[in-house]
Amino acid sequence: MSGPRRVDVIVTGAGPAGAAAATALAGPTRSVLLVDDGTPARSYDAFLSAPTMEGLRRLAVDLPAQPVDGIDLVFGTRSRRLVPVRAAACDHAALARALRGAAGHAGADRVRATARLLGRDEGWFALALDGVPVLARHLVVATGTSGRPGHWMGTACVQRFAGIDLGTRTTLAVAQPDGTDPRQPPTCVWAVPAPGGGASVGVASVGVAGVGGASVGGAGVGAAGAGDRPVDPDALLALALAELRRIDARFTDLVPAGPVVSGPIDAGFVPERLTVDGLLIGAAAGLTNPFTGEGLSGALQSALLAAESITAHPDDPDAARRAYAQRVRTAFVGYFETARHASRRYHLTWRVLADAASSDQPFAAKARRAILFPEGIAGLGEQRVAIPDAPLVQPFLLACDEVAISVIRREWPFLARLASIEDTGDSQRPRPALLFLGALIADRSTLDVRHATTAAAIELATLGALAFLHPPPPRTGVRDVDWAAAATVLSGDFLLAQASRLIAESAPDASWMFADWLAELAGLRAAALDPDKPSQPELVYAALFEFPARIGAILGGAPARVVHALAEYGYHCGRAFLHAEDVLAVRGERTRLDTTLEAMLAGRFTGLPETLTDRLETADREAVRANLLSGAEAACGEARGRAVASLTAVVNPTAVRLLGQFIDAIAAPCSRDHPARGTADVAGDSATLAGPDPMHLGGQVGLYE
Amino acid sequence: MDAEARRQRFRAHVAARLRTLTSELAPPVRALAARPGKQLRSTLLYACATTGLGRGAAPDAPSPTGRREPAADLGQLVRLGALVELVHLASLVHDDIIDRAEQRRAGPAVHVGMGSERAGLAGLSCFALAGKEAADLGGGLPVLVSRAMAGLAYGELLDIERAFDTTLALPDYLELVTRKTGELFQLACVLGAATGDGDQARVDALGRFGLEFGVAFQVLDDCLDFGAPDFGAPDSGKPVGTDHLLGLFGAPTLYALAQDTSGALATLLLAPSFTAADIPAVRDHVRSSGGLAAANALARSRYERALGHLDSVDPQTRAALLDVTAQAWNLG
Repeated sequence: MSGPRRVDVIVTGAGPAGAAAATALAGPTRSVLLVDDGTPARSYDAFLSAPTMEGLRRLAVDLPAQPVDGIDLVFGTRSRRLVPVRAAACDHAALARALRGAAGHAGADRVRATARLLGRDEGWFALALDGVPVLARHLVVATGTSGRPGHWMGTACVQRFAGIDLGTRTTLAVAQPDGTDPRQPPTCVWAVPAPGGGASVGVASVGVAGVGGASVGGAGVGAAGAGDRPVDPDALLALALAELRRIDARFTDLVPAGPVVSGPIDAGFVPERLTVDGLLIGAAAGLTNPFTGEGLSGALQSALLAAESITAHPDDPDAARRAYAQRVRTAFVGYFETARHASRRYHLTWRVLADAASSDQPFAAKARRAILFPEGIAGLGEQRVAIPDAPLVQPFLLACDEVAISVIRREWPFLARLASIEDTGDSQRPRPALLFLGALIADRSTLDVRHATTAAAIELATLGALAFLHPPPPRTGVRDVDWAAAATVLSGDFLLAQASRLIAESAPDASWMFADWLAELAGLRAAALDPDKPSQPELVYAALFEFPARIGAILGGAPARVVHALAEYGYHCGRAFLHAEDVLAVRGERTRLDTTLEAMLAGRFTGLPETLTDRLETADREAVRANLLSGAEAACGEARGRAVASLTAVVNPTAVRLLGQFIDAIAAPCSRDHPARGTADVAGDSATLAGPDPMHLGGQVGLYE
Repeated sequence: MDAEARRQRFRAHVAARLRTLTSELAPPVRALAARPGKQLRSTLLYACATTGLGRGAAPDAPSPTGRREPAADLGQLVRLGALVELVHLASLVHDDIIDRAEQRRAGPAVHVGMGSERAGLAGLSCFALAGKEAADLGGGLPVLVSRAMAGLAYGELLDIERAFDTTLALPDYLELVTRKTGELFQLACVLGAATGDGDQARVDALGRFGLEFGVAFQVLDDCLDFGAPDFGAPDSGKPVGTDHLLGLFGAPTLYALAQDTSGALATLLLAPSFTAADIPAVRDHVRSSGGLAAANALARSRYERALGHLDSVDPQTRAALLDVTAQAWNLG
């Protein structure tokens, strides 16, 4: 015979991450071994976040799941709120089985063995499977939490109970850490509905090994030890149940309906850790949320990224490794990338989340979502923009994201979570970089990748501006720092300074215009806050969108006429954005700024006429709402029409398509026939969507489809 | 032109810039700018601008006042000095929101009158004014100024995240002080020095001096926060000791905490019932345990290190800078 068996890919570990990678990789032209050490999948109800569901959809894995549409988010005794999500719950063992089944169906070979890496041999990974040597071109490591000391480690326990019906909601309770001990390990408790009744109750507690682990008594469930100290799962669960009962009487009569499942968790992701021996994915890469203990999202996303990287470089494992490293660097930001400051930063974030928990102001709401939930901040809308001319545009956007994240991740990884974009595929959610990019190529067909740095600056600046445009309201009557207000100012200053630096370095001629833009935003917002003046919040958003379009056109060398038209386009995009916010808020749906009608009225950033909103509490409430809706929809349609009309000046058809789709995505909520929450396919024949012909306007139904 | 006249010109220029602020935001910011403090940063900038002069065979002719004048024209220096003061002003406006200071420079903090939301916008406007001025002045200024502002913001983050940390290590404390205070001093010195004869080595040396002096100055300010009678009032013009209420402990307290094996000081500082009435007890403990003396020694040693960077600088510039630093140290 001719030596050991050779395969294209070995995936070690057949949990959700490993099975997902094997499913995505296996096929008629690629041999995949999925090595499973025989650990049985454990049964409890798992939370399937939006990214997890998206991953399952891409893998065409279908399984019975219970829809979840809201998270009951509780911060100690301080606040409680409902966060809308599009998620689901299903049995963890069933999920693992479904994924393993899908891997087998795709052609992966499942081997029950213990795998050991022997080394590299002329570009092949040499492994011993129960002692039998096998060579593989690529190695994907999905063996779960390694238990290596020195990382952010903790413990998670979960158990299924009968005797409760949570409906379509999960509960997430964040225990209040003792505000005066910066090292106390925070603890998080959750309850996930079981399909067909009952619920699983879980608890996660994370501390830094070697530093954390101090057991502190007191309020909440903070008594759980973390770090490298062994934890009694039963005691941890008892605390979790006590906390849930405090919050919600429905948890009083729970009856155990399954075994206690517990294990270590590792939230110590850093990009450098990923590609030492093969591609590490999921828990093996430390992709667990330290606040919630949630790890499925990172497991599926990293599995798909690893599979994409290998597929792109089937014969070159080193190139695949580099590709994976780059994708992961832009898709994930670890929570603890600054080891030296990790403990303090963690607690700062904790305090900020708790202080801002009762705020619906956009910056606080976005930060909460980015840090606690894997789904990210959803760009500026749900409807996606199909990327035209992908070979030209995609590398540019990838470079933009890499710059945006790299300039802040070292110093401030928690903040970088806000800037991280998880969709780098062939469609994107609308965001400022797309607006800038479309304007940049308005009058030319080539792209200077240097401008990706400018695009990154615009992304960071928009986020920074949001901090000052919509800060959380001040907290009063407490001794210590107002964490939410402080963090908002700090974040804004830091993001805007970094953005200024990037502009000064990549497009020095734009420095003055950039600073002037910030001055304009501050001035317009201050005017909008003035109760003695007619409130014109439209102007704030018009200015927010106008600059990326204008500066893109200028840097792209467009003639003055085109620059003017694009500035006009951006201006009306901003107006359409605000009116679309109004529409979503009046309908009671999740707005793009993650805010509510109440918060918009309180914060004076709505285009809805006060004469009508003042009457929202009166008897003819429904009529007022209908009136508000039709007014906002009409205003949005008008703004969209004017934005589209200004595109007649644009020469490059790729830019026309991109910008046409951009405004359509922004204005999407304003057509009654096109619910914003739908999953409309915008990747169809986009040329007919938003051609430069202004006759296409007017809000006809067909336009939005 | 004498020092006071020069400071007045810096102030006048800052005021001129602030005139473009929108009417909703302007009054409290202008009021703060009209209580200018020591203007240490622009004064340092001016002193550094004289560097390189007086060297070689043909020193510049004495000015009519008999004092040496810098090479760059005064209008240019006034703009640079005002730029640095503007960045400083913006950071003060935001700093006071962050630590909820009621007072600044013996008057109300900007957010007190207008609320923190508008004060955030006011600070943003000042940063934007600084950005426009830097872009107008051109050259490497936008990069230098935005880097310093990023350092400043990062320093503020380090400052806040250490809250209630009674075991903050000295290197971490120094990192925070370097970013929060040192970087802007460094910017002032670099901007001044760069108007001189173009010797990059000297620009760098003066930049290092500024960074180090900023650290020394901040540590000293921490000591002044103890209201030490031999030092005078702290630069911030804030009521003494209030940072302890926020859980933010300066060098003297951190030294005292490191000494305190009994844990009594940490217990006192972390007690939920801790109020302003407890501050004198903290002060006594920090003084008697040698924390204040140790912090003073630290400030002194960083000050000496700062002066060490002036070895390569011509004697006259050195003398001018010593003048400035001695005043800041309240020795002059």
